[in-house]
Amino acid sequence: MAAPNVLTQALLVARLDLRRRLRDRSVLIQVILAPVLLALIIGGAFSGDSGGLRADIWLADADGSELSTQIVAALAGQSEPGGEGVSFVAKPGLDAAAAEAAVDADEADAVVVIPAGFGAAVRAGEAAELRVFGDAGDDVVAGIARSVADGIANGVQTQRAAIATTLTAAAQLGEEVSADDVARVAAATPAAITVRDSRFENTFSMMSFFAPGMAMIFLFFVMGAAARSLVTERREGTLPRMLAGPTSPTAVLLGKALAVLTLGFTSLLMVWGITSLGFGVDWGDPLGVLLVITGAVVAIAGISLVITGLARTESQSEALTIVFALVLSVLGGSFVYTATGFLAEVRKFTPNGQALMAFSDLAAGNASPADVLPAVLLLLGGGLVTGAIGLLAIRRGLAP
Amino acid sequence: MTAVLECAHLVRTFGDLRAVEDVSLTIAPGETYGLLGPNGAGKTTTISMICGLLAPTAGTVRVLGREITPAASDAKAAIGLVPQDIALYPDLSARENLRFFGRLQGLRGAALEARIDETLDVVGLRDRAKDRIDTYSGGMKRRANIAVGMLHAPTLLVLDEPTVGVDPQSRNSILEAIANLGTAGMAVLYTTHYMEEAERLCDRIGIIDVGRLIAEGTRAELVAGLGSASRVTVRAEGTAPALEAWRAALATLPGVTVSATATGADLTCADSTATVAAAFQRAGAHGVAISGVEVAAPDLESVFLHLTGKGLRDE
Repeated sequence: MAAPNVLTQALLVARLDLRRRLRDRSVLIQVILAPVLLALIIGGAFSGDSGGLRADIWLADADGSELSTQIVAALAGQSEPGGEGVSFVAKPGLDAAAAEAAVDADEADAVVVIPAGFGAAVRAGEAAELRVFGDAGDDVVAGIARSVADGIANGVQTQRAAIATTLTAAAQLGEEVSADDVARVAAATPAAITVRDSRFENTFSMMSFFAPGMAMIFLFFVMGAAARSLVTERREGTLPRMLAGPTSPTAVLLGKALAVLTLGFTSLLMVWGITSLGFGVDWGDPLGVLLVITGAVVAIAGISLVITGLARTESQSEALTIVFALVLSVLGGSFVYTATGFLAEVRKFTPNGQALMAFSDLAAGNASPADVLPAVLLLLGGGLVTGAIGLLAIRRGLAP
Repeated sequence: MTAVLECAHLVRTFGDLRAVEDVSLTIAPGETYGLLGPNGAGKTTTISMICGLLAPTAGTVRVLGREITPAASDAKAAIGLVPQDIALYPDLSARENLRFFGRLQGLRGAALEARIDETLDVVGLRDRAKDRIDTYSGGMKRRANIAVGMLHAPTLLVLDEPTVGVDPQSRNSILEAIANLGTAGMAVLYTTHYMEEAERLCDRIGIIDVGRLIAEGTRAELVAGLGSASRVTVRAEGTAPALEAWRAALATLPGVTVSATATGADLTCADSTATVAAAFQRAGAHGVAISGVEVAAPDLESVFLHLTGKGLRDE
């Protein structure tokens, strides 16, 4: 009878841990029910009449050309200033400096600036630039403003292509058509600008922010409890019993870490699946979402292991988990989808804040998997470093 | 014949406290060795070093000739530990607990299931195997605790006070199960502070006190070491200071060792007749009334009293 190798031992430990956790109904509540329900409640509240998103996006027309006037008129006509949701406000003659000042002074939530010379540059076939100013703490509104700018750019490209095609066709037919005539007709047709605001399309739209936000709060508790089981087993004697046999401390630690990670993944994947399939919440590109989930789980697992390594008793570990979960959730912006000033800066330094920003970008359609990769790497790196520190501290605690 | 267990000059300190001091012992195959001592004597620390849970400050532990260290996983596979406290998963059944610990030992499939059934039969829990541990009585938990330790048929089974807090009926059934292990060829190290358990189960006994192994041998050898000494149990009544003064007066008698009990005093002495007479005489002098005297042949309790000047359950 040969003792199993370290990996097999670790898998046995992980399997037992997961089996015991899944039998525990309170874990199921923490893993699935609580985050989904809270996201529904809070998301619903923020999406209601009084609590819904309200944002004024200014369209600063510093160009004053026929083209820019048409674009601004087309967009501003889509909404009523001061009404619910996203409103576009025409601001003829406003330049970039004034636009930035308006955002800083909180007069506008975001500004899309059409700079002087824009229309002429387009007509001359030269490079033209649009500028977007937004609140760094409000990814959602800034994202919409960027989408508007993208839409304008796409519309302009379409017009350019149409003009080129028309001129070519006219030449082939032997007819004389001036480029100015074509451009005038094209500009008179509103550009096909699509504002990607899928987050605010239905009652549960805010859930694409709050679902991962709530899930990550509970992730602290779920993963904290899983990591804490090591302290519990030490107290209950099952850990010494394992170590008195051929089981190595490394195998136990690996098994526990594996269980913590699996539980975290399961939790976030379940919340993603339920909110997506059950409530139509769009989390964004699935690959990107998977990457961010991976990063978030590893990062929070790392913190849970550090807490376990620091704590001498279960109650210490539990108290530390609550403190870390609540402080990081507040600082990371899990409870509020916008953050300004100090909070906007500090959320970047929290794992859940980083993950939430990435989730928001994906949900708003502002980021591809490649765009969230830096945040994911940061989360993974942080998680691996804190996890290693935690495991070393725990290992030291197990040393005879 | 190679000894199953060889401990050589084991020392373990915790800061300034020397919990175990120069303990050496050996256990032969199939032998049941009792480590007898009061609470805090160093029994659990000694077996923690034997099982590789604690690194010795000095000295070595060898099982079947292989040194036991915390990292010696293969060598530790030869040991089965039954800890003093119940070390089981309360939310799992006995069978599930056994299956998990059996797999960690390398048991698999049909062989594992067969061994689980066998072990459950030995401890008398076969019919409750599917029930969760937290639904068991204290005695049943103790038996399940023992079952996990012996599941993989270890060469050396270490039992740390396995009957503490168990009702008499369960204790009897546990002791019977352990007695059968020795006959199956398994070496057993059994720690206890119950003299009667050590006398009933153990082939050889080591008496440990304040971290030191102060005597070792068979029961007969240990008792013979007392010579013709007798054990006199005196039941007495009086105020606490009067009883204290009376015991102090008895302790001045030549060749008499005195241990306070809840109901009077335990004495070991060479001449029981003279000692009983002196006890009555000094009782009168100190205002103590003697209500009963019992003279018995010496036992392990007498040996411990004689060696340490205190009873096994004083602490």
